[in-house]
Amino acid sequence: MARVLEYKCPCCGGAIQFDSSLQKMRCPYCDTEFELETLQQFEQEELKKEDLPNWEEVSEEHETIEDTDGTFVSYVCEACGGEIIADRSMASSRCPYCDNPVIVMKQLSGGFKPDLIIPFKLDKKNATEKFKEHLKGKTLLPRAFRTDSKIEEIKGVYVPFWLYSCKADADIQCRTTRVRVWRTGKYEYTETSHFLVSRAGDLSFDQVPVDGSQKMADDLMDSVEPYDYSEAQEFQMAYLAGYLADKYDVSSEECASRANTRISASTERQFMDTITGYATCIPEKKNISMETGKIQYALLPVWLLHTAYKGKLFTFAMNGQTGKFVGNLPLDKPKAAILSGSVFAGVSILTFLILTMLFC
Amino acid sequence: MNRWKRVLLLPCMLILCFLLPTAAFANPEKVADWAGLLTEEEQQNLQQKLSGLAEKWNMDFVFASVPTINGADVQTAAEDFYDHNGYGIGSDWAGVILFINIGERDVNVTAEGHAQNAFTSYALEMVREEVTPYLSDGEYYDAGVRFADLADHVFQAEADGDPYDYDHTYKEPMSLGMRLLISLGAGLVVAAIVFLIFWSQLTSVKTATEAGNYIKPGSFHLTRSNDLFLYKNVTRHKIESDSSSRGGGGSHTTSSGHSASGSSGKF
Repeated sequence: MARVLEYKCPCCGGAIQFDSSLQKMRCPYCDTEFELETLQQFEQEELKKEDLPNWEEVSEEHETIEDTDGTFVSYVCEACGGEIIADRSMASSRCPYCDNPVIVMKQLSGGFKPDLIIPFKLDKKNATEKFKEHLKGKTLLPRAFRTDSKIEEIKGVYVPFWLYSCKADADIQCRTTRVRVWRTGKYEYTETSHFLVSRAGDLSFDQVPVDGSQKMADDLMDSVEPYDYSEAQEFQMAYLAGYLADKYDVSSEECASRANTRISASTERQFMDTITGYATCIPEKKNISMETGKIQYALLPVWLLHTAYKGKLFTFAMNGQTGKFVGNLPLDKPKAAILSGSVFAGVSILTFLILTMLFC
Repeated sequence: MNRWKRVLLLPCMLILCFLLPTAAFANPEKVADWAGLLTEEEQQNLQQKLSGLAEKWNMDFVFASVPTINGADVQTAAEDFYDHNGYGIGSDWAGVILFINIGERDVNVTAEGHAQNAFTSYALEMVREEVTPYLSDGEYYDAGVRFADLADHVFQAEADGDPYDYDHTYKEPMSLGMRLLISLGAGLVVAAIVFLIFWSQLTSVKTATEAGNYIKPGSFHLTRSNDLFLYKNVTRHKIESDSSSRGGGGSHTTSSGHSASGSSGKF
C-alpha cells in the first residue's frame, strides 16, 4: 500500500501542503511557508529516538582479601551501626560517623579489595592547622566556637568510593530564535527567525567519584573533591596501618545514578555552550548515553573531625591528599542581627538624606 | 479743630491710598465661581489662598469658572474675563488666571503683564496640564489649590533667577512616602547582600551537581553541528505619538490693550 508522505509543520504541527501558486510548502493552519529541503531535514532530526543512559560495566571481579593474621579487626558502632576497619592497636574510642563513644570490636568478616588507594599525604598536624585556619576570618562565627572545639579528636579515615569512567554520547536539539528590530516611519518592525539547532558528539570522563558509604555524608565527600589520581597506588593492606578504613555498603549500581546525573549535567553543559548567538534557546531533545563504562573501587584519604556546639554536631573533613578543608560552621545569630540591623539602618538613613537633598 | 481735620483729611486719605498695598486696587474677589463648581467653604478657602498669594507676589491670582462661552475662543474669553472684571495689579495689569468653561469643557491659564516673565509658554502649558486631571475628575477645588501652589512655585522660580522653561522643567518634589519606600528598600537590599556575603563564608559543603573536573582533556568531539533555519515572521506595531491638545498664544495684545499669553486645552 502506498504510503502518503506527510510533512509536519515545524511551527504549529499541522499537515503541510504544497502550494502550487507559491511553488513552496505552506501550512494551511498557520500560513507559514517553508522550503522542501527544510522540511526533509526537519523530519530527519525529529526521527531520532531518545535513549536512556546506560552503563556497560566492564566487570571487574572484586576480590575478597583474607586477613589471616588478625591484625585488622572491624569496629561496629552501637549507636549508628557504622562499621570501620582498623588494626587492633587503634584504640578507637569514638565513632567517626556519629561521634558516639561506644564501639565494639568484631572479627573482620568477608573483606574487600579496593582497586586502588590514594595514601595519606598530610598528617594529623596539618589537619589541625588547617582546621584552625578554617575558623579564621569568619566574621559571623560565634566566639565560643573557636574556644570550645575539640581538635584532638581528628581521625584519618579511608573512605570507600566508586569511580566511574566512561564515554558520554550526546545528541541535543534546541529551538532557537534570533530577533531583529528596526523602525521605519511610524512603525516598529520585529523580525523573529526560528532555527532548529542540533549538536552531537562525545566526551570522556575519568574516575568520577561517588562515595560508597551510607554513613558518610555525600555532600561532605563531594566538597572534599577533587583528588589527584596520578598519585593512586595499588592496594596494600599496609597502607591502612594507623588509620581507619571503611567498607562500601552502597553497591556500585546504586551509586551509578549519582554518577549519571553528574556526567549528564557536565556533558549537556559542554554541548549547550557551543550554541551561541541566539536570543532564545529552548531544548527540545537531550539524549545523553554512556558507553564503555568502567567502575573502580577506591579508598580515598579523608581527615574527619566532629565537634559539638550548643547541642548540634558539626562535622569537618579535609582531603588527606590535597589539604582542602570543608565543613559548615554555625551562625552567631545575635551578631548577625546586629550587623544586618546596623547596615539596614545606616543605608536607609543615608539614602533618605540623599533623596531629600536631591529631590526636594 | 474741625477745620484742621477737614484740611488734613484729604491729604491723609491720599497718603493712605499710596501706603495701602496696591493689591487693594484690583478686584478683591479672587474666586469668580460663576458656574457654581465650588461650595461656600471651598470658595472661602480658595479666596484666602489666592489673596494671600496676590499680596506676596504683588500680582493677581484668579480662579474663574463660567457655565458657557457660547462657542467663542477660550483664550479671548479668558482675557476678556480678566480685563473686564478689573483684575490685574499695577500699570500692566499683572496677574495670572485659571479660567474654566464647564459647558464646552475648556481650561485656560493666562498670564498678563509682567507675570509673563515667570509664566513662560512652557510654564503656562505645564500648569494647565497639571490642573487638567483634577478637572477631568470633577475635583474643582483641588484644581484651584493645585493652580495656586504651582503658580507660587512658578513665581518663586523666576524670583530665584531661573524661571521654568523647556530647559528648566518643573519637577515634582519626591513625596515623603516615596522617599521612605526607596530608602527602606535600599537599606533592605544592601543589608541582605552584606548578610549573605558573611553567611556564605560559613558554608563550604554542598552537593556536587556536575563532573566538570573529570572530563578527560581533549576528549570533546563535536561530530554534528547543524543550525537549520526554519521560518521567520515579522510583526509591527505603530509607535504612539504624543497626543495632547494644545493651544496657546505667544504674547499678544488683548482686546483691552493689555499684554497677555496663555495656554488652552480640554478636560
